[in-house]
Amino acid sequence: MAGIGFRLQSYFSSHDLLRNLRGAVYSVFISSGPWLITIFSLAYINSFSATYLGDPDKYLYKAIVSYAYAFSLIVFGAIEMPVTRYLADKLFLKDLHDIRPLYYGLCFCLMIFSLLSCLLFFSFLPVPFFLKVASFFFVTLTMLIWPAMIFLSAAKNFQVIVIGFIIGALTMAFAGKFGLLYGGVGGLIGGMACGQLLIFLILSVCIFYEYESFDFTSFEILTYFRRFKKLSLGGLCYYLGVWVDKFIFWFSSSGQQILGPLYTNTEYDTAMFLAYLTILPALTIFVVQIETNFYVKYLYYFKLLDEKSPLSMLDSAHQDMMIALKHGLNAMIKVQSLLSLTIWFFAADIMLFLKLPTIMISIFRFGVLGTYFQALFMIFNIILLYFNAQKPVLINYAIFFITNAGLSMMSVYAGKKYYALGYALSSFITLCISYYKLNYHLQHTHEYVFMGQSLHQKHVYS
Amino acid sequence: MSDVCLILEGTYPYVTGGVSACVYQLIKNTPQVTYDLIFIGATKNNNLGLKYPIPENVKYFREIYLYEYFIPEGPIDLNFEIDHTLIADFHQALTTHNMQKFEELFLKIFQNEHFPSPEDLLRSRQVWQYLEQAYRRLFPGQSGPSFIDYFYTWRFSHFPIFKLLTTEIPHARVYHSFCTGYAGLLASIAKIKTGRPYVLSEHGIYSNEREIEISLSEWIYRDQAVDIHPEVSQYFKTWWTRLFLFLGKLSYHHADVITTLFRGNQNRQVEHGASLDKIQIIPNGIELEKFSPGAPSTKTHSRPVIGMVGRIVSIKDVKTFIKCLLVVKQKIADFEAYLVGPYTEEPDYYEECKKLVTLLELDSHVIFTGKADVRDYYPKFDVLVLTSISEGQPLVLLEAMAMKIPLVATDVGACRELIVGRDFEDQMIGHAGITLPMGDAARTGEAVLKILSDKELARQYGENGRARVLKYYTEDQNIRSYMSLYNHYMAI
Repeated sequence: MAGIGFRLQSYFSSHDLLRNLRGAVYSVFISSGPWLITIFSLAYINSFSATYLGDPDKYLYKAIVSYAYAFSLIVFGAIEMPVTRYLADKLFLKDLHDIRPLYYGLCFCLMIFSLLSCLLFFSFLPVPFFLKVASFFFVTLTMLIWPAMIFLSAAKNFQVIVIGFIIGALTMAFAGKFGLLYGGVGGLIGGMACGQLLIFLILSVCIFYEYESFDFTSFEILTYFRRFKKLSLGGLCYYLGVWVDKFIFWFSSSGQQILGPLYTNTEYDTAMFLAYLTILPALTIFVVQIETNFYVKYLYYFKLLDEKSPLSMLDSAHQDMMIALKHGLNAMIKVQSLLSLTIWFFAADIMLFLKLPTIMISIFRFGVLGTYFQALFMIFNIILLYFNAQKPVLINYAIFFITNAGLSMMSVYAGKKYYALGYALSSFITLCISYYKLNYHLQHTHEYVFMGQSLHQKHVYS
Repeated sequence: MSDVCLILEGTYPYVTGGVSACVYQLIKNTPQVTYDLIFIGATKNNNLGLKYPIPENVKYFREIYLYEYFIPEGPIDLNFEIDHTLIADFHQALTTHNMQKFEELFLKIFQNEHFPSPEDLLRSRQVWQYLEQAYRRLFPGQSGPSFIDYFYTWRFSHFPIFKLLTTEIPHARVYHSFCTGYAGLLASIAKIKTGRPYVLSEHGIYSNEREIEISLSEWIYRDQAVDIHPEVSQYFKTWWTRLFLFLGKLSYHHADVITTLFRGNQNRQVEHGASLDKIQIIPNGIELEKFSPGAPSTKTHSRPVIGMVGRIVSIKDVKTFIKCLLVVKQKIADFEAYLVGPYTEEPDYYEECKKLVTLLELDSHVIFTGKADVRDYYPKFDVLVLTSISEGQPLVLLEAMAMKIPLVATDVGACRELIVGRDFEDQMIGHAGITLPMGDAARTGEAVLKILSDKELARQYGENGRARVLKYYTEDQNIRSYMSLYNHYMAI
């Protein structure tokens, strides 16, 4: 996301209130735009599906959508960071001739993978054939949109992503409604798949124009998966960690079986879904602060290094970088703490206002704390990745996955009052460890920058 | 256990040259001695196959490539305590030429069984902390040399040394290196480890050659902006120069005997820290069977022939040779000049030489033969000219002397010793030609004319040359000198 910083900086550097506001909106859009848009359109679909669908069908639809997002995100987790690294390197070297074939190839592989997984999964699911086909398209397209986003983000084309999502989400909502009226659950999922297809097509066309191609296929990307297997594994652990508590609550005694392998836990899912919404400010502030202040200082540090500066200059550049980081984190933590605590305090009233069952209050409370910790540790780990600290990130995310699985299982047995406490504790543990690692890393930045990469013979002067 | 372990850096059997020829000749002509060979190179892909055969009496051959490595990502913690004060003492000792400290450091640290691999050492946290502290101590203020270069210069200058210091060395009765530098370092630690004698043979002066290379090199970072502070701007060049000077001193310190080709080199070695009483002169020797003059009347034509043998490169100052021909032409209308040697090394220089020939209207006289067998040309020559601006002990002169060809040569390297004689006894043989200062085309031309016009003088120079070669510069004598060193030190 590096390059947006300079534009954001221009928004925020002026004292014009309107301009600042526009900057803030822009930040929200690029940091969480697609996510927000999707959430709103899903909320809209939820609201009308409740009126048109009976309970079993309503749960069936919700479970399919949840499974689709969980599955696609976990798969994406494994490829996200190596592919992002590859794109960043290629863009830096201005060597773009194999980006288009890479994108096609990646889409093709994901499609095959999705097809095989769906064939396996649907053999256990007693639903009409049409629903299976519609679900297959929905899962596959959802899975394809994530990599499309990183290809466009690498090229700094954020507007297209947001526009694509707005058009697609509107289509998803209306085509879904239309499908629902004429084809029940299958029609609904099919209509939603149409919306996803539109997003995918818009993004793909933009990728096609963004990257020129000489129709040159290389398999260099595979070396990135080998070189960055820690990143690949780390991404996988992160998304597994994000979903594992939900899985546990679905499959545990507190969850409900809907049909075959489809399970759900309405209370847990709804409360957690709302809790995730509360960290929006943290993510927005992070984008603004890190991408504007910190990133400029970060670039300057490496520029000085490249320009053969003495250590004293690197020291002061490092100090500037740390100050920018501290400012950014302070601002974010202040706002988000205040917000999360307020929401935590008024959790009961919010649930009441939303006409949700009181059982959700404690889940929501722990969820608000947990998502707050998760947002922080995710940000800490992103900063660690700026310094190429792959191993600590992998360890942190693996800890998140393992503790979330273990503690969530324990909280199931501890009883309804403690639901989501496991997740909150797991996030807190991960946060503490991530903070410790980040702190250590930032105190030894020079050391990690110089010694952190392997060195081959070809680097020798000769 | 072999008799002699030869430690060879960038030479036999992969690279051609004077030292390589000498080493090959030595191994081949001493079948009674068994040899271990250690070849030290930069990277393996620089080697393009064997340039010389490996005789049967070589029992063991090992190659060490100093710049082949893979340092994995770090930093890691070593479970080995590095004695910082010892390293600091050692660096202190470097400036005061205290070679004892090196031995102490080597035995205490590198001989420790827990000592990490060079790769682990380079990526260790301990080393980083040491480097950072050292830099801050040396440059406490705002200015200082490029830190990234400081870091990588340290890595690239120390890695080869760490690699050698942790290398297993075969046991042998005598260790013999053909230069100081890395080969000398390995031979020195072989001596420290085994206590066996170390023979150092130096043809060129290694630290001198490296110093010239470093001062001309582009890749060592030099900060143009702060040239007023040479201690900062020249920091990295000084670093490398000091390193090679140190390696030279280390070899001189540990060698039991130091051999070199001629007097001039001996003085340079003493300047660089060798003690005079260790130095022996073992000149090059040539195979007499290969270089014997035929019957005096083999020449069928009467045109005088002037020869020059050597690569067409600037260090040979071929242009002065060409210009001297103009002087010759003013007196002798009809003559031939052969330039025997490859011209592919410096193609631009070769082109310039050819243009000069055309400009001076010497096209009908001058012939560039390219790479050729010199023995096809020596019988034609009436005089051999060497205009080099730098030489060791040129084999060309020895070969020409053996062929009874009178010489005209610049007074560089061992040329004067070869032509005039190195001591009283040698000088009694008489001159084998004429020596003159470098770059003087007029005097070179006059000297050539003098030899061409005085048949008796030319004959005398030729006879003297052959007599001198027979007395001092035969292959047999060269081999015998090395053999007597070997016999002496093998018996210790």
